Amino acid sequence: MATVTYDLIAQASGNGSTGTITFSSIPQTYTDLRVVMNSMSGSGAPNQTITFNGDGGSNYSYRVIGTSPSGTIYNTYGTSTPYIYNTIGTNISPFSTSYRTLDIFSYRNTGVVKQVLEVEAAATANSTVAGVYSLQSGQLWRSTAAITSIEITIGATAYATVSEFRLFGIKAE
Amino acid sequence: MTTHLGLQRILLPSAQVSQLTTGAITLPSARGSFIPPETSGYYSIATTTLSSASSTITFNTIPTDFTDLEIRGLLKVDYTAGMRGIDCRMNFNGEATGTNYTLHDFRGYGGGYDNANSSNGTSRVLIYSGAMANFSGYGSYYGAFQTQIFSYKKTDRYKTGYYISSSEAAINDNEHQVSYSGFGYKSLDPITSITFTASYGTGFVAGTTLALYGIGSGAS
Repeated sequence: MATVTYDLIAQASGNGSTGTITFSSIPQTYTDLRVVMNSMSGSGAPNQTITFNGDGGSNYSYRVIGTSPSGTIYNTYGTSTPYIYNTIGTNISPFSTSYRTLDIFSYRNTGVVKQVLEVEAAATANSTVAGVYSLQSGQLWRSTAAITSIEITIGATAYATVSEFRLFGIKAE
Repeated sequence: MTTHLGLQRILLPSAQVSQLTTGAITLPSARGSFIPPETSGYYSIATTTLSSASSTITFNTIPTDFTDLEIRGLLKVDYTAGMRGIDCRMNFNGEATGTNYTLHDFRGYGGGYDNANSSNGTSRVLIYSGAMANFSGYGSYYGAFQTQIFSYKKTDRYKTGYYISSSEAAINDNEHQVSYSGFGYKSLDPITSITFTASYGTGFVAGTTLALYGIGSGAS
């Protein structure tokens, strides 16, 4: 018998004064996690990174593919750093935020290294409607530890107040 | 806080109920007017986690209660000759021959990428880099896979969907691979079974897991 799932665990908004969103004390009761974020910086075009359990070290790898607004093919990878999201939109009205979903597989399974699949529609810094990158990425956190916290940061720059972040839990029966 | 999404039921005013039950509408059709035949929300239907190696993984007798399907999981194949992510195949309703599948794949690997279109039709949906090879020293590594299949039970249209997959490659300093594809299945039959097969090696190893979910709009 099918069982309802896809639970909203937590949500947060940008407040215009901080550039870090942290989901902590993540319940260890689901199979996978999904982060949905629609974000924009308060100024400039800072880089955005996502890390797990406060690990800012070299335990990450990724590859991103996709196309730029002009049709340029993207195919880049890193072997020791988290994926750097460099198009998150800026605080120019009317707003044009960047939308991303990240699926984190078997996040509490201590027998597997953690895999993330991500899809994004990323607005360019000048926030024009046509200026959207269509990107997909696979990311890896080389750790078998259960994920208990997720840190989303753009460093010293603050998230604009229109930024939204949601964490969902998906449970397989 | 935990909130279940998409569980709202439409409650019609009692005046409408009274009006319909005194009219010419029969009870079954009237019920159909009040209660959407599809389930609303995101549901876990079935999960397979292999306790021993298996050449295939199949979801059979898929219920028709939903609008769309989603499958997600971690895959590893018993193959060690190569050093990169391993391709897998996805077939619907046991159809693994002919040319009723189409695929447009965009994937990055090594120093290059592919942007390939199988518009002439193939015998399967090929999931590039969907599984991790069973390399020594990479016991905890799996390939990640997620797909959505839209209107899987509709008999008035061919079926469409997309997938995204990713795996680590134990070569070239642990470069990562990722694939994103749209696909079509040229059949008007409802999808009642989905089978996964490894393209290389003897099959999936123990620990491989796939979960099937149903997504319902609540509409008819």
